Amino acid sequence: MTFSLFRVLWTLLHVFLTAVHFIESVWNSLRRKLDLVSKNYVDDELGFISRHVKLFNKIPSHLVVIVGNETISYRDLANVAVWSIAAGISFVSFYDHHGILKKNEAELLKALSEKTKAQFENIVWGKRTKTHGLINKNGTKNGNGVVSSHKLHLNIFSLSDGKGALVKLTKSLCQSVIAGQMTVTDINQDLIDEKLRAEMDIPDPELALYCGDVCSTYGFLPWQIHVTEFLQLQSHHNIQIKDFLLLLKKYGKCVQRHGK
Amino acid sequence: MSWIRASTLNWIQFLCVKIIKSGRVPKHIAFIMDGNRRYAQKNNVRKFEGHSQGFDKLAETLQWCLDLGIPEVTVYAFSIENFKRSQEEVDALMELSQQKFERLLSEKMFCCFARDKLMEHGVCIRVIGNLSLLPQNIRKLIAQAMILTKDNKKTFLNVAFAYTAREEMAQAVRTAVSGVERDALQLSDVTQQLLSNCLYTSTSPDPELLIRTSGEVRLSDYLLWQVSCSCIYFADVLWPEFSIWHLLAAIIKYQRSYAQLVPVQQADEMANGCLNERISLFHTCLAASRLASLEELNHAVA
Repeated sequence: MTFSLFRVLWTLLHVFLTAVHFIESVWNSLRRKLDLVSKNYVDDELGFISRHVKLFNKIPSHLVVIVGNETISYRDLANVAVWSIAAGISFVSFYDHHGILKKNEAELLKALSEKTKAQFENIVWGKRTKTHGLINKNGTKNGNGVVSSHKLHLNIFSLSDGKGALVKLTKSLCQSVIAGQMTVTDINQDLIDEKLRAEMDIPDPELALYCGDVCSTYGFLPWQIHVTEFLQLQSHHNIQIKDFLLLLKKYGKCVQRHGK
Repeated sequence: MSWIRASTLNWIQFLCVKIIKSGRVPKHIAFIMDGNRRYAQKNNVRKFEGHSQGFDKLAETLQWCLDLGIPEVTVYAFSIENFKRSQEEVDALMELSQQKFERLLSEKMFCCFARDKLMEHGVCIRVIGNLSLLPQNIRKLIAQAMILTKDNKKTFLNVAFAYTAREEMAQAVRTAVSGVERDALQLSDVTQQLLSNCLYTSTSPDPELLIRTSGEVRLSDYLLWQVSCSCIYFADVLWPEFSIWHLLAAIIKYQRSYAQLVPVQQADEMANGCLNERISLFHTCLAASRLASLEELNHAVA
């Protein structure tokens, strides 16, 4: 009898929390719609971002967006990429553990080229992408005479790039050891770090934005996330510049002691 | 102060525990017990006092986990990175650890009637990390504690000491490569599952919930491989101030996140690869050699 009572109360608790959550999302969604309607559009998006980030203590050199269980909105990811250029972020990665983003890379390419012509030429597609090496890296020319020397390195990762990459590396080290090119005692943290860095061609992510309510790494690059700050991005759908800046501002306040 | 305290819950908290417990609870929770020094600063006491209170909180949390029916807990007690702290602080932490391990062992030897709750609750203590970095006396105490409790099967307390996840993963890679080099394994045996079973945590299931206190939102090189599919909960409270309410909130979050994480776990499991006799034998030998190292430490002259 008492067992069922507790279970009933537990169910009520979760129903209540779901209701609260629902009301919150409806409210947030309404507020966004009002924002979009009433506020003045930011004319110079990129200038707006560049000016604001100067006020922050620090900017990540590598930002990753963990899409989680959300359906992918290529337009919004393209926005994040372009805003990152303006913010001075050098590396942006998108992580989708399902691998859908990797399969549909062309969609992201399309969304980026629709978003901006000027910045598009400043995007370097990383080793893990299909577009790597395909786009003509012409440098920084563009018609307006606005010189931007800032390049954005874009990467797309999926589940197999995490633990899978370590497994692959282990196999390759086995072969090297068997071939007499190295000994087992040569294998240490620094060696593995060096090899993975050469393979991925990215610095360790400093900031990860996870989408949705569930905070998890979703299997993202276990080796590289040792000091990554995890911040919640409610949803990447219809992400606004102010959401993006707010998260960068929060990141700017994080202080790392590195064990000390 | 003993490793597990008597229950500190009042009746309201106890009822709430019963309610939360009627839903799904994690079988394994990992903690990053962060905030001891900031707590000490906030209350104008010495850092050592902060760490000592942190240990008390650990003991209390273990009791809550027992009350909630959570059979396994892993805590981040000391990172390899923490060796960078002042010699004074490192020495103080080693001193505290020595006290606690000695207490654990002495209760076994001298108290027949008032047995340490640890043995009473069948708690198996495992220390994970690169023990070779620790002073000899601590290593011996750790070995003794692990051997003393190794046959306990009801609950498991894993203490990450001189630990970082990357050191652990590097060690696992080395172990796997060494296995292939001496023909105990073939190249095709090198799979995700093999590496998982070469980690220090090979005998534990992955934690389903990771809780970090003090408001920081990073993993600090803790169980990076093992938490791939875990629910992570960042609590904005200093560890010595962690309460049953924070723990219950984390578990509620876990309960609400569970459904979304199951497909991630399944995808991860699918990437594990197949087990075969050779791999099983390799794991058995690895476990035996780790136990043998502990026995050796145990019998070493301190």
